[in-house]
Amino acid sequence: MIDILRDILAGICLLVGGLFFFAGTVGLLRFPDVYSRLHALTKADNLGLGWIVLGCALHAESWHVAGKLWLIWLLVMLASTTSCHLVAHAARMMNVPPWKRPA
Amino acid sequence: MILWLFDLLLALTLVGLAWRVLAAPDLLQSVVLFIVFGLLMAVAWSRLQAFDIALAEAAIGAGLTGALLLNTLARLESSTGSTSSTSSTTSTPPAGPTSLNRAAEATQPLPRSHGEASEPAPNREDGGEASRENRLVAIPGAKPRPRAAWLSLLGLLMMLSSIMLLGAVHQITRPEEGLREYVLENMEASGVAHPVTAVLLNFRAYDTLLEMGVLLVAVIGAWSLGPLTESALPGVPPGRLLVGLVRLLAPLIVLVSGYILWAGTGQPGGAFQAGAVLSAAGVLLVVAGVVPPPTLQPVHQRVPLLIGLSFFLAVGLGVMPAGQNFLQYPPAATSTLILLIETALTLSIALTLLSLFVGGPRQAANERVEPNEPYRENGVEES
Repeated sequence: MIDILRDILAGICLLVGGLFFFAGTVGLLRFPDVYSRLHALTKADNLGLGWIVLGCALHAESWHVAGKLWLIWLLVMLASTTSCHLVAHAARMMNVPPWKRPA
Repeated sequence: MILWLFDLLLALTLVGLAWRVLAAPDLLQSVVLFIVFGLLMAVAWSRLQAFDIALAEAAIGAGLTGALLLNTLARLESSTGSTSSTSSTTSTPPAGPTSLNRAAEATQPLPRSHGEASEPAPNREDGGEASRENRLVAIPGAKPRPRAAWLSLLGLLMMLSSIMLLGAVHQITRPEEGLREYVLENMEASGVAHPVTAVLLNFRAYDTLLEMGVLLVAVIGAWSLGPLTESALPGVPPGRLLVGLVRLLAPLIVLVSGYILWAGTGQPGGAFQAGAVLSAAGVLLVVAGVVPPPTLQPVHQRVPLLIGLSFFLAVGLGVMPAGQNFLQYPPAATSTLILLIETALTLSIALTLLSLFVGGPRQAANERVEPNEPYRENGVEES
């Protein structure tokens, strides 16, 4: 019983994570400028991966493995936040104009 | 069924990506796609249960080679003037496949005049073509694009050779008895618990020894080309956030590298992967300006570069007076010797890869170099 419940919960987490990645990819392809694309990407990185890590952790054999997964998520968040800042900063330095809704 | 579908998707994506890498209209896009290709390749290796290769591919194929290529690209562009000021950066947002290009271009540390960003944009295809032409022409010594006749001749030749290759592959008889059984039977004697490490460091240690020689020759070759005239490192000063992240990550990376080295005796991992990971820490530290790039002049920098090959050789030769063959470890000391050799190899590989990334000694114009470093007197001699 507990196992089935755990499987269902893990499945839901993975699905939600997948949804975030899908939305992030769509955003990357469809958003109009660097800044908004970064927004879409980092959402996928942070939340999408978070849900997937949660789903995987539910299936982990031990706390040990779950902890490692959580660490991976933490590191990815650090790296993605910093690289997002770097890209946006570089774009700003090069005067890439932010997109405005055409009047 | 799902896994089968995943594998099919992975294989198709790899082929598609490989094509995009070759066909991308500008070099930066090719490089970025190549990094993605390397990562997916690592996934493919792990699907084939080859975790050692997957680790190496992710660390070297995607990570370090990617950094090396980006570095080369930056140097290419700074040495040929601002070839990048083509119409590919425009104020109108391009959609679709070029989004990656544009996002990545924003990270390019190149001086760009402000006016260009607001110039009217030609359509995307033209932009791509122009930038391709520019980049090809801009490479010093590069010839103009070959004629269509030559291209078709080349295509024909390639098709012929592909057919011959296919024929050759078809003729290969699948060996009934691989070396697998042989390796597994002798695992007891190898001194380690992981078959890949047993092959690399014991059964075929000679190959690994020669590989270390190749790596050393590669660094000597690259650094013998004389001091770099241009700084290949990013021109934009690294922000505080990057420096902070690098300071946070560097000790962690060293820890991971040590773990991979240690784990290599019993599970996937080992000197090459650990060395590649360790060199990634070095690359990050150098790029963020936390430490100056190595000059390979002081003794404490040359020792790690040489220690892998020399320690390996010393062990190989050292066992000979005791009546053993070259590189035939005495059974009692096998595991210890392998771990020691692997540690030495890790240090050498890390510094080798970092030195290849840095590319050569710097000239005095580069403010990143300590003025007290004595390398200039020695380094400029050959030019």
